[in-house]
Amino acid sequence: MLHAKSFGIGIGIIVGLIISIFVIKALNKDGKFKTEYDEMQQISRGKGYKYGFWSILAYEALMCVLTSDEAFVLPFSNFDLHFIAVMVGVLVQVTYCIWANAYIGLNTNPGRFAAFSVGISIFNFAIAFVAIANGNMFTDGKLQDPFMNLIVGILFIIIGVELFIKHIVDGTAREE
Amino acid sequence: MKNLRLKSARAAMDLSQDDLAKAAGVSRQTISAIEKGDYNPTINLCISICKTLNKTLDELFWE
Repeated sequence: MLHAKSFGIGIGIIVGLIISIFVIKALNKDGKFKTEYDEMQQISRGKGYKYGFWSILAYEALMCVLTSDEAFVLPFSNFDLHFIAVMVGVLVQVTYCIWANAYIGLNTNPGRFAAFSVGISIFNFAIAFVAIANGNMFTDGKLQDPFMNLIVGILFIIIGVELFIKHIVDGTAREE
Repeated sequence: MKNLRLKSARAAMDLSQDDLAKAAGVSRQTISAIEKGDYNPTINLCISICKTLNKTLDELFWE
Protein backbone atom coordinates (compact mmCIF):
# COMPACT_ATOMS: atom_id res chain seq x y z
CA MET A 1 0.00 0.00 0.00
CA LEU A 2 1.35 3.42 -0.97
CA HIS A 3 2.01 5.99 1.71
CA ALA A 4 0.43 9.09 0.16
CA LYS A 5 2.79 11.64 1.71
CA SER A 6 6.01 9.79 0.77
CA PHE A 7 4.70 9.10 -2.73
CA GLY A 8 3.76 12.76 -3.17
CA ILE A 9 7.17 13.95 -1.99
CA GLY A 10 8.92 11.45 -4.27
CA ILE A 11 6.92 12.59 -7.30
CA GLY A 12 7.49 16.21 -6.26
CA ILE A 13 11.26 15.69 -6.18
CA ILE A 14 11.24 14.04 -9.64
CA VAL A 15 9.12 16.85 -11.11
CA GLY A 16 11.38 19.40 -9.38
CA LEU A 17 14.46 17.84 -10.96
CA ILE A 18 12.87 17.95 -14.42
CA ILE A 19 11.84 21.60 -13.94
CA SER A 20 15.34 22.46 -12.67
CA ILE A 21 16.81 21.35 -16.02
CA PHE A 22 14.77 24.05 -17.76
CA VAL A 23 15.50 26.57 -14.99
CA ILE A 24 19.24 26.03 -15.57
CA LYS A 25 18.69 26.64 -19.31
CA ALA A 26 16.86 29.88 -18.51
CA LEU A 27 19.57 31.01 -16.07
CA ASN A 28 22.41 30.42 -18.52
CA LYS A 29 23.44 33.27 -20.82
CA ASP A 30 23.94 30.89 -23.77
CA GLY A 31 20.70 28.96 -23.20
CA LYS A 32 22.58 25.68 -22.66
CA PHE A 33 21.14 22.99 -20.40
CA LYS A 34 24.56 22.57 -18.76
CA THR A 35 26.35 25.12 -16.64
CA GLU A 36 30.00 25.45 -17.62
CA TYR A 37 32.80 25.65 -15.06
CA ASP A 38 36.51 26.12 -15.66
CA GLU A 39 39.14 23.70 -14.34
CA MET A 40 39.76 25.53 -11.05
CA GLN A 41 36.03 25.76 -10.41
CA GLN A 42 35.57 22.04 -11.11
CA ILE A 43 38.26 21.14 -8.58
CA SER A 44 36.69 23.46 -5.98
CA ARG A 45 33.22 22.06 -6.64
CA GLY A 46 34.58 18.55 -6.12
CA LYS A 47 35.96 19.61 -2.74
CA GLY A 48 32.62 21.26 -1.96
CA TYR A 49 30.74 18.00 -2.64
CA LYS A 50 33.22 16.16 -0.42
CA TYR A 51 32.70 18.57 2.49
CA GLY A 52 28.92 18.43 1.93
CA PHE A 53 29.02 14.63 2.05
CA TRP A 54 31.03 14.55 5.30
CA SER A 55 28.71 17.18 6.81
CA ILE A 56 25.68 14.97 6.13
CA LEU A 57 27.43 11.99 7.74
CA ALA A 58 28.43 14.08 10.77
CA TYR A 59 24.90 15.46 11.13
CA GLU A 60 23.32 12.00 10.84
CA ALA A 61 25.78 10.57 13.38
CA LEU A 62 25.02 13.44 15.78
CA MET A 63 21.29 12.92 15.38
CA CYS A 64 21.68 9.16 15.96
CA VAL A 65 23.45 9.87 19.25
CA LEU A 66 20.95 12.55 20.33
CA THR A 67 17.84 10.52 19.47
CA SER A 68 19.23 7.42 21.18
CA ASP A 69 18.15 9.10 24.44
CA GLU A 70 14.40 8.49 24.69
CA ALA A 71 14.05 11.68 26.70
CA PHE A 72 15.23 13.66 23.67
CA VAL A 73 12.21 14.20 21.45
CA LEU A 74 12.63 15.99 18.14
CA PRO A 75 9.96 18.58 17.32
CA PHE A 76 9.73 17.27 13.75
CA SER A 77 9.24 13.99 11.88
CA ASN A 78 11.93 11.52 10.85
CA PHE A 79 11.46 12.61 7.24
CA ASP A 80 12.23 16.21 8.23
CA LEU A 81 15.29 14.99 10.13
CA HIS A 82 16.78 13.55 6.93
CA PHE A 83 15.56 16.45 4.81
CA ILE A 84 17.50 18.81 7.08
CA ALA A 85 20.55 16.54 6.61
CA VAL A 86 20.32 17.08 2.85
CA MET A 87 19.90 20.83 3.36
CA VAL A 88 22.97 20.89 5.64
CA GLY A 89 24.97 19.12 2.92
CA VAL A 90 23.70 21.53 0.27
CA LEU A 91 24.54 24.54 2.44
CA VAL A 92 28.08 23.34 3.14
CA GLN A 93 28.69 22.56 -0.56
CA VAL A 94 27.25 25.87 -1.74
CA THR A 95 29.06 27.91 0.93
CA TYR A 96 32.41 26.34 0.04
CA CYS A 97 31.82 26.89 -3.67
CA ILE A 98 30.77 30.53 -3.21
CA TRP A 99 33.95 31.35 -1.28
CA ALA A 100 36.08 29.34 -3.74
CA ASN A 101 34.58 31.26 -6.71
CA ALA A 102 33.05 28.06 -8.04
CA TYR A 103 29.34 28.59 -7.51
CA ILE A 104 28.46 30.89 -10.39
CA GLY A 105 29.31 29.16 -13.67
CA LEU A 106 31.05 30.73 -16.65
CA ASN A 107 27.78 30.92 -18.58
CA THR A 108 25.48 31.75 -15.66
CA ASN A 109 23.62 35.06 -15.73
CA PRO A 110 24.16 36.31 -12.13
CA GLY A 111 21.21 38.73 -12.31
CA ARG A 112 18.77 36.03 -13.41
CA PHE A 113 20.18 33.69 -10.77
CA ALA A 114 19.68 36.29 -8.01
CA ALA A 115 16.09 36.93 -9.18
CA PHE A 116 15.39 33.19 -9.25
CA SER A 117 16.82 32.71 -5.73
CA VAL A 118 14.73 35.57 -4.35
CA GLY A 119 11.65 34.10 -6.05
CA ILE A 120 12.24 30.63 -4.59
CA SER A 121 12.84 32.12 -1.16
CA ILE A 122 9.65 34.25 -1.24
CA PHE A 123 7.59 31.30 -2.54
CA ASN A 124 8.73 29.03 0.30
CA PHE A 125 8.43 31.71 3.00
CA ALA A 126 4.90 32.47 1.78
CA ILE A 127 3.84 28.83 2.22
CA ALA A 128 5.45 28.72 5.67
CA PHE A 129 3.91 32.00 6.84
CA VAL A 130 0.44 31.03 5.60
CA ALA A 131 0.78 27.80 7.61
CA ILE A 132 1.88 29.77 10.69
CA ALA A 133 -1.03 32.21 10.25
CA ASN A 134 -3.50 29.33 9.93
CA GLY A 135 -1.99 27.53 12.90
CA ASN A 136 -0.92 24.57 10.74
CA MET A 137 2.83 24.81 11.31
CA PHE A 138 2.91 23.14 14.71
CA THR A 139 0.31 20.53 15.58
CA ASP A 140 0.34 17.47 17.85
CA GLY A 141 3.69 18.53 19.26
CA LYS A 142 5.41 18.30 15.85
CA LEU A 143 6.35 20.75 13.16
CA GLN A 144 4.37 19.98 10.00
CA ASP A 145 5.31 19.88 6.29
CA PRO A 146 5.50 23.68 5.79
CA PHE A 147 8.51 23.52 8.11
CA MET A 148 10.43 22.18 5.09
CA ASN A 149 9.40 25.27 3.11
CA LEU A 150 10.73 27.42 5.95
CA ILE A 151 14.04 25.54 5.84
CA VAL A 152 14.33 25.99 2.04
CA GLY A 153 13.45 29.69 2.36
CA ILE A 154 16.13 30.18 5.01
CA LEU A 155 18.65 28.23 2.89
CA PHE A 156 18.13 30.51 -0.11
CA ILE A 157 18.33 33.62 2.10
CA ILE A 158 21.69 32.40 3.46
CA ILE A 159 22.93 31.68 -0.08
CA GLY A 160 21.81 35.13 -1.22
CA VAL A 161 23.54 36.87 1.69
CA GLU A 162 26.73 34.89 1.10
CA LEU A 163 26.73 35.78 -2.60
CA PHE A 164 26.18 39.44 -1.74
CA ILE A 165 29.05 39.48 0.79
CA LYS A 166 31.31 37.65 -1.66
CA HIS A 167 30.41 40.18 -4.36
CA ILE A 168 31.43 43.04 -2.03
CA VAL A 169 34.64 41.28 -0.95
CA ASP A 170 35.58 40.60 -4.60
CA GLY A 171 34.83 44.19 -5.52
CA THR A 172 37.20 45.59 -2.89
CA ALA A 173 39.93 43.02 -3.58
CA ARG A 174 39.73 43.28 -7.38
CA GLU A 175 43.21 43.32 -8.88
CA GLU A 176 43.65 44.43 -12.47
CA MET B 1 54.74 32.02 -5.76
CA LYS B 2 53.31 34.95 -7.70
CA ASN B 3 53.40 34.77 -11.49
CA LEU B 4 54.55 38.31 -12.23
CA ARG B 5 55.54 37.37 -15.80
CA LEU B 6 51.96 36.51 -16.61
CA LYS B 7 50.72 39.71 -15.04
CA SER B 8 53.21 41.87 -16.91
CA ALA B 9 52.56 40.08 -20.23
CA ARG B 10 48.85 40.69 -19.77
CA ALA B 11 49.41 44.32 -18.88
CA ALA B 12 51.73 44.75 -21.87
CA MET B 13 48.86 43.75 -24.15
CA ASP B 14 46.58 46.12 -22.24
CA LEU B 15 44.29 43.28 -21.24
CA SER B 16 42.32 43.15 -18.00
CA GLN B 17 41.98 39.92 -16.05
CA ASP B 18 38.43 39.76 -17.38
CA ASP B 19 39.63 40.08 -20.99
CA LEU B 20 42.24 37.37 -20.59
CA ALA B 21 39.77 35.13 -18.74
CA LYS B 22 37.21 35.39 -21.54
CA ALA B 23 39.85 34.71 -24.20
CA ALA B 24 41.14 31.67 -22.30
CA GLY B 25 37.65 30.40 -21.43
CA VAL B 26 37.99 30.63 -17.65
CA SER B 27 36.70 32.88 -14.87
CA ARG B 28 38.42 36.13 -13.87
CA GLN B 29 39.02 34.62 -10.43
CA THR B 30 41.01 31.77 -12.00
CA ILE B 31 43.33 34.21 -13.79
CA SER B 32 43.66 36.17 -10.55
CA ALA B 33 44.50 32.96 -8.64
CA ILE B 34 47.17 32.01 -11.21
CA GLU B 35 48.77 35.45 -11.01
CA LYS B 36 48.76 35.34 -7.22
CA GLY B 37 50.23 31.82 -7.24
CA ASP B 38 47.17 30.36 -5.53
CA TYR B 39 46.36 27.99 -8.37
CA ASN B 40 48.59 25.81 -10.53
CA PRO B 41 46.93 25.62 -13.97
CA THR B 42 46.83 22.54 -16.19
CA ILE B 43 49.00 22.44 -19.30
CA ASN B 44 45.91 22.99 -21.47
CA LEU B 45 45.08 26.25 -19.70
CA CYS B 46 48.74 27.34 -19.80
CA ILE B 47 48.75 26.81 -23.57
CA SER B 48 45.49 28.71 -23.96
CA ILE B 49 46.87 31.66 -21.97
CA CYS B 50 50.12 31.61 -23.92
CA LYS B 51 48.28 31.67 -27.25
CA THR B 52 46.19 34.62 -26.11
CA LEU B 53 49.26 36.57 -24.96
CA ASN B 54 51.50 35.46 -27.87
CA LYS B 55 54.04 34.02 -25.48
CA THR B 56 55.67 30.62 -25.07
CA LEU B 57 55.19 28.29 -22.11
CA ASP B 58 58.81 28.94 -21.12
CA GLU B 59 58.28 32.67 -21.07
CA LEU B 60 55.26 32.59 -18.82
CA PHE B 61 55.34 29.42 -16.75
CA TRP B 62 58.76 27.77 -16.69
CA GLU B 63 60.92 28.69 -13.74
